[in-house]
Amino acid sequence: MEQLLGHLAEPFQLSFMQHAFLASLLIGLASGVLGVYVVLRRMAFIGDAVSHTALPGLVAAYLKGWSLLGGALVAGVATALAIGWISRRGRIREDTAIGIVFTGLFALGIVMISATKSFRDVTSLLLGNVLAVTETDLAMIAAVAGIVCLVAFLLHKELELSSFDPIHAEVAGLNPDVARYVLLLLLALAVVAGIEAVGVVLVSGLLITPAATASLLTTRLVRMMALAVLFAFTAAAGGLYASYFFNVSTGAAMILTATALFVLAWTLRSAGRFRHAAP
Amino acid sequence: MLDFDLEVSAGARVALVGANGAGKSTLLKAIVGLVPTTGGEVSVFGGSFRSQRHRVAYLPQVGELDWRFPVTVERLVLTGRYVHLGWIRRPGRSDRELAASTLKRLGIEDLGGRQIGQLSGGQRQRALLARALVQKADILLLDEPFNAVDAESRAVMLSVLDELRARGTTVLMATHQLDVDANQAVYLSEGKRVVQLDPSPTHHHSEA
Repeated sequence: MEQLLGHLAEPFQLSFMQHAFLASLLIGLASGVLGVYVVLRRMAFIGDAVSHTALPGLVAAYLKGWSLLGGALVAGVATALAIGWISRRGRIREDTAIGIVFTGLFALGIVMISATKSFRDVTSLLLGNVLAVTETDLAMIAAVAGIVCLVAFLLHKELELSSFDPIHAEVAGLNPDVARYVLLLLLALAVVAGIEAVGVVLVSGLLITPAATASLLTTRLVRMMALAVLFAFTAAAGGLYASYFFNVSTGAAMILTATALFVLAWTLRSAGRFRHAAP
Repeated sequence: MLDFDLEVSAGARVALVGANGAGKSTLLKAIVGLVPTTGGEVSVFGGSFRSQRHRVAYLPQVGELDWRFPVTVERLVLTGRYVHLGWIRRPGRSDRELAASTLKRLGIEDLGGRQIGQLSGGQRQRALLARALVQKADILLLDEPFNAVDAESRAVMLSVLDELRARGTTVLMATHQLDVDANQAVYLSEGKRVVQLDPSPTHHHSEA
């Protein structure tokens, strides 16, 4: 037993592993809380879009030597606002608006990469590299997690109401568009932080899968958030251990852990329902 | 689309009657600003709806909410207090007590902790009526409140509406049933008023 614990603690004697673990927990916190809204409001596609459109921001920041997080943040926020604005009056449906903005900006990122012919760090943008997280990155991720949690707490009533009954929110004077923009902005923040851990391609999995798993297990919003955070933590830890002991991609291992948890919850629930249905 | 001119007396119960598509819902939505009015205006107690929104409770058609959302019946009812709370402020103890007593009045106090999707059709309408009541508004706008409602729910809801009348609360409801007891019945067809029966005209206090 002691040997096993020693084995499990071993990676965390290294300072880069400590940083990576802390960063992963903070990212899990932000994406767990927001992911529940993303799942319940059927915004999964937006999460995916915001992560992909962060690419041109990341590339520009990389080329100019600016903060990568800062560049991605500008691009992510711009995406969120553009999607909200294009689909604002319903002439273009939201999923269509997302499709346009998403592919357009991702293509711009690819063009920028190919024009510079410097592919060195592109893999880490696409797949994330939480093991290389710096103290500055860590501070920024902590700020993102703090903002997400604070706003989600302060505007809990408004975000909740506008998610299940936007008409009542409107009549009661709590404009549901405001809640929507706030969510989109928080989503941009969480996605950008998540890119550090799992990269552009997989970051929406960090938002969606733990929250979807939680939604199978409870019908209370706050409990769902707590469970989603717990599952995101588990995924983060699982990914870090897998990458340390088996030398596989950290981000991909995190998402696979999250997926495994979902499959487990899904199977247990289906089995439970089957038992209920049996005479 | 809608050509309408209607003044409603305080404390009256007015039924908007007409076939589907006659414009009953649209009229109620226009009053609370959910659809824009063209070439006309809606005034509530002589002011705009925005300035008087706390005095007007609106009960939407039951299909307009996401009933699968993880929220309890009690919390749904509490959202009726939000117009008084505004942004950020949360419902307090008095709000929760009011929600609890209103659920009791509608006979669904045992269901307060249920997720809203677990309610039957009649229970959903009772919960929506409870939400409209906790707002303590002077005007209630009810869009098809008796749709898919069982006999028991209907009886409870009607007795609550009678209490409201006794208290001078104005009720304007869209319905496609003719058997609802009302002071006035306004028949709508293609967005125009066809007939108005007004057995007991009182002083004009509120206009909607």
